[in-house]
Amino acid sequence: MTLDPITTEVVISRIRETTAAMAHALFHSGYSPILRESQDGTAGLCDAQGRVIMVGGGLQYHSVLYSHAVESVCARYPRDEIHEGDSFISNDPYKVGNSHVPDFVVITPIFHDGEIVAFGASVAHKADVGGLVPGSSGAAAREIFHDGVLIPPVRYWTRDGVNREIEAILHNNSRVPEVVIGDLRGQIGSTRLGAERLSALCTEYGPDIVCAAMAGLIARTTARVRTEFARWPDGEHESEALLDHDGADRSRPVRIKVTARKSGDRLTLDFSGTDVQAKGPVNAPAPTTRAVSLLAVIAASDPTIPMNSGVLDAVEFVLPPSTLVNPQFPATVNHYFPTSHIVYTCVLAALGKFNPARAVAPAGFGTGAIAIGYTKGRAGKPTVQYELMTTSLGGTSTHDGTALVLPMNHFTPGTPVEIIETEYPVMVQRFDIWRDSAGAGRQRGGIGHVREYRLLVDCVLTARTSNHRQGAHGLDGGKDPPLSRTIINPGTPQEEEMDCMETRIVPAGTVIRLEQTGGAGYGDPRERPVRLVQADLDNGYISPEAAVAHYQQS
Amino acid sequence: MAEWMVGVDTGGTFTDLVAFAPGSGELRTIKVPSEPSDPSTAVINALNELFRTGIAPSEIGSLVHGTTVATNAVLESAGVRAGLLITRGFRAVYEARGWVRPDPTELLDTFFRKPPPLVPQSRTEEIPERLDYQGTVLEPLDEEAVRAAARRLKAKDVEAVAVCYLFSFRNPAHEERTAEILAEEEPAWRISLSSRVLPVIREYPRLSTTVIDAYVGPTMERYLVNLERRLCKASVATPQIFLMQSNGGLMRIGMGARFPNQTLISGPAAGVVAATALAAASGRRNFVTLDIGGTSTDISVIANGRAHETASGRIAGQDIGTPMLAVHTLGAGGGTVAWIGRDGLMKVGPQSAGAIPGPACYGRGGTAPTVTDANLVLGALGTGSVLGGRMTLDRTLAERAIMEGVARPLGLDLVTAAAGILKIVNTNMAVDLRLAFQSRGEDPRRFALLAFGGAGPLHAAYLARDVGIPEVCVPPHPGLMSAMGLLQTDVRHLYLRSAVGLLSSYPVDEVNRIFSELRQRALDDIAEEGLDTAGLRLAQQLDLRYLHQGYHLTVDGPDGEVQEQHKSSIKTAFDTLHRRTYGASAPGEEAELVTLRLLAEIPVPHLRLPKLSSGRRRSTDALIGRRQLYDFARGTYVEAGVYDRSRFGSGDRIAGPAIVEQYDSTTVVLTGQTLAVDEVGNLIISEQHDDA
Repeated sequence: MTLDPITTEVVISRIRETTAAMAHALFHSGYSPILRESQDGTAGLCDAQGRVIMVGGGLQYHSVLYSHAVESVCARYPRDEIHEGDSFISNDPYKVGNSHVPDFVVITPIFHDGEIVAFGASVAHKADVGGLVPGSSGAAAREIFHDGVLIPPVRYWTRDGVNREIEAILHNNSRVPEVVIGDLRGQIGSTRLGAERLSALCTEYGPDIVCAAMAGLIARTTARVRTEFARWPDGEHESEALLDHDGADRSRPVRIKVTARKSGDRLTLDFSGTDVQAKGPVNAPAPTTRAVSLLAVIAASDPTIPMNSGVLDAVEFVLPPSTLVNPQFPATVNHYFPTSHIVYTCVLAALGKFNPARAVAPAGFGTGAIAIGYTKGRAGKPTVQYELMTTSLGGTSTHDGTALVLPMNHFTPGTPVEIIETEYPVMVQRFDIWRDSAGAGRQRGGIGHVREYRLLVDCVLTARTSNHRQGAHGLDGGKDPPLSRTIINPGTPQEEEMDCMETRIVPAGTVIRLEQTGGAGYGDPRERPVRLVQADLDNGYISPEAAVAHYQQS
Repeated sequence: MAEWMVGVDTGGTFTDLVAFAPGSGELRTIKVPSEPSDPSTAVINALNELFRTGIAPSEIGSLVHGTTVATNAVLESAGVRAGLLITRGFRAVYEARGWVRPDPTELLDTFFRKPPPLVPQSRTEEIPERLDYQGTVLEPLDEEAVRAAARRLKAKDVEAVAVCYLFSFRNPAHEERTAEILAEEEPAWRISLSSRVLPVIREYPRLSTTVIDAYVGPTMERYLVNLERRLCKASVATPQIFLMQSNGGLMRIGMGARFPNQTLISGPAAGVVAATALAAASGRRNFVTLDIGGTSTDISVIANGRAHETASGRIAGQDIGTPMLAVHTLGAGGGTVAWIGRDGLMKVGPQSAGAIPGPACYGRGGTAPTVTDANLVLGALGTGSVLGGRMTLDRTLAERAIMEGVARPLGLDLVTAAAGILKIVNTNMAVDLRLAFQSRGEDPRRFALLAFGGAGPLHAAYLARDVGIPEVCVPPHPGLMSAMGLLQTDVRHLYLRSAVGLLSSYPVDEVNRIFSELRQRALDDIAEEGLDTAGLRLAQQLDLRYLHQGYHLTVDGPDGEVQEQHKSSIKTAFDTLHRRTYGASAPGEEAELVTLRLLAEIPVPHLRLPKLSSGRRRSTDALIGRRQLYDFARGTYVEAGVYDRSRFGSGDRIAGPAIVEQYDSTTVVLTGQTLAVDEVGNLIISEQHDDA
């Protein structure tokens, strides 16, 4: 069935409304601070074949994961055993494609006149699902069982309500059970809202038209991506980057490598040459590798192309099994985030060589999170302060990189200093720009930053960042930014550098400083206009020494 | 000698004036072109036109002004060169810009940029000083550092200085001492303290809001001084001159220079005020407003007689935490352009042909097809519909623009393409209307759609049917709602102070101490405004949230002293409000107090719409012609009666399809709908067949 360009646009707007309503419901009915404040979750729609239609929320890389989850549910439950009002859940990365164990997937079939017309889907991070450490993501993990309880795809909800037995199992396996159960309820509610809305849309326009619009959305994305590919010269480009270590053997770096082959309107991303899967937690499951690669494909071609399964249709992947980018059961995956950032960086760099107009210098390395566990928060209860650590984007062909952004198009709000100090026994001593942390270039990287905490009580400090030894590289003569670092008690006799992945018990009075680097530079810094170098000096982004050393200006 | 209340609202294209005589109920309206280079010129022009109708300047008892001066300074990056003082070590707060998330269209774009700061790091000075989370001094203010910073900023020719230290909302001493030193160093500076501009927790929004205050303050001050001088010259001698604030209340004009941030959505807020007043007058509790202008559409939800408020506004990417009425804006209006996307589908907006060149049918050189062109081709507008026929629309130009811009490239005929433009723009508006309801947990079936702005009444009947809103209300003067709203509210000041902690254990003494401080500030301001405190109403309110939530809700506190036993009823009120707003609540979870608010209001006289004389029940007298109107349900043109609104009387009823024309707007009634004229002249459209 082909649809006219007006009806299609109208129905697509209504589908967009549906996913926006789902995301809103998710963030406003969720129970935990992660979901409510950090918005670390998404909700969206797949078609009846499980192809992703649209994702609501700031983390577009969740999209590919939906498909795996729908496939997995449908493989376990024949169609005639799936009923209207059912919702399925799972958090097993090897079964439903979520990035790591704390991410729970919810799948809700959407019926219209007794037929499945689509699936509502949601992925959201849970505060704790058991495992070695609070938050379920420990550096000491060596297999997935260390990451927390593993729920296979199961029917969690029916038209009669929640399955109490499964709920009891979940409740039994978390350090903060109410939050986990509450957030799951929020996810399920949001997919059921999506089901209601989409079914109503089918009533209004007819299911054939809605399905045709969904199919058209995917086909258009594929066609637009292929049109972009066709414009690029045929050929092969590679890119690689390193992580400091695999989390187990800290003596040597591990490598991510991608080769992009383009012929006509076809693109293959081949990850041969990537190191074998890690013993530690830095593995990125294959669906996550594909998902972040596709974000890079869109960024490197035309960022206005809507993200859906159509991008996946346009790209072939070679993901050698038992590597960092396609780990096999039972490898642990809890620290997938920095790895996927490196995957994204490599694909973006390789594709930039085909399409220099969209090429950008890489964002600074060193992203991740810190978690500080207190036996008593300001409110007197045990609590965990969890903060995502950003870097900054790299320079582009037209302007300097944007400062203080989580790369890989991962957009979640950060926590204000005044909120942190009010809720936790800690002082933020600095949240400052870091002079000379931007990779120099004709267009420099975004400026990096320093965040420094003084811990006022004894606590458990977990650093889950990355890349203190291996940094990002400038593009086209642009310079590298410095390395990110985490320092304990800086400027004192007890000064000590912390590994990027480390948990330790620290006494009251300890100071931790995170130096989160800036983006890499783009183009020869000597070509940077004098007035911009002067402005950087005036703004304190660069030192007079750097102006001389990099920009040859005094 | 009659006494007149006058409202003058500056808009993008027109400056509107409404004059009302409370004694006689007489109403006069005037529209003059705006003067972007000096908005006061249009204000004076409008007044002069009023004087030519026979009203003397001395007869003006009060004047209320809606201004866009501060807004435009932000939108056009035309504020002053400002400096900023912050706590040492926190330069990244402004640089991070609250970790802003880009628009959905830029979500995957590695070229994405954050909005530019209004003050660069080069004019940001770090001052050694630090308070802890309770406001206790950890590091005293380094006064010499303030002096040195002042001298450096002076050398950089700044006109205004913003000061935002950490936790200054808990203890303003360091900021206040800083202001004294800055004034000693440069008495001419306008100084903005975050502890006065927005004393609430969260350093980034407080800083951004304080910087905006510094950036637009001097511009606002100059404008107001100039305006007062020109009013004086025009012999407008009344001391009762007010500005409309973004919160829907008035303040004395002299306060405007002190609180420029309060005027950032002055005009749209006035529209919401008028809508709220209309709701009250018509006995309705729930309205959703639809204000469609040339380039954009404003939507706001009034539930249970109260407009929603937001503390997370944004103007041209600049974050503003000053509470204001919640008005959602989307890029869809009469001048909005239809185009073909890279996906081969038809798109409408958000770009607009603006006032110049405007829609193709205006004949001012515009060639892009717009929503107005589609409305003309489909018969909703006639060639003489705009400004009472003072401007003629050219149908040939509209047809050509639609054919060449979208129809031919997509292989569609003219009518299909024109209908497509409307379907798409209406869908975009309907989507945002539905999301506005959903985000507030409201059911559209309990609402009426209040349509105004030049183009609101053109689209309202279609949107109401699409969204399931049972009733449309078109007020007597849809193009003058903001100007009318200026005369339908009271003086209002809102004072905030963050007080963060668990409600159950927060000391009531502290709550009462803060409320009493806020009360003193209110009394001081009212004294400075020269207002009579006789009618003063004070309301104590509390912003609450469940622990760790990223958003809060406002509940009313008791009058007078807050006591320990009040806490349970406050908590219950919060649980109830949370359930109503978000569909869920957690009565078992503790509530956290975030901010205390004191609302001070002093009533002033309001405009009340005169009753319309009773009509004839048969409306043929108002029928002035017939026109072919496109019927979306049937996919073909139908014949619709064209009525002159000025000939309607109350009680008149007509059945759709119909078109009602008036000077500044055109109302469409669809087949199957009925229009009735109520006693003050509102057009009420509903989905009922009129058998009479």
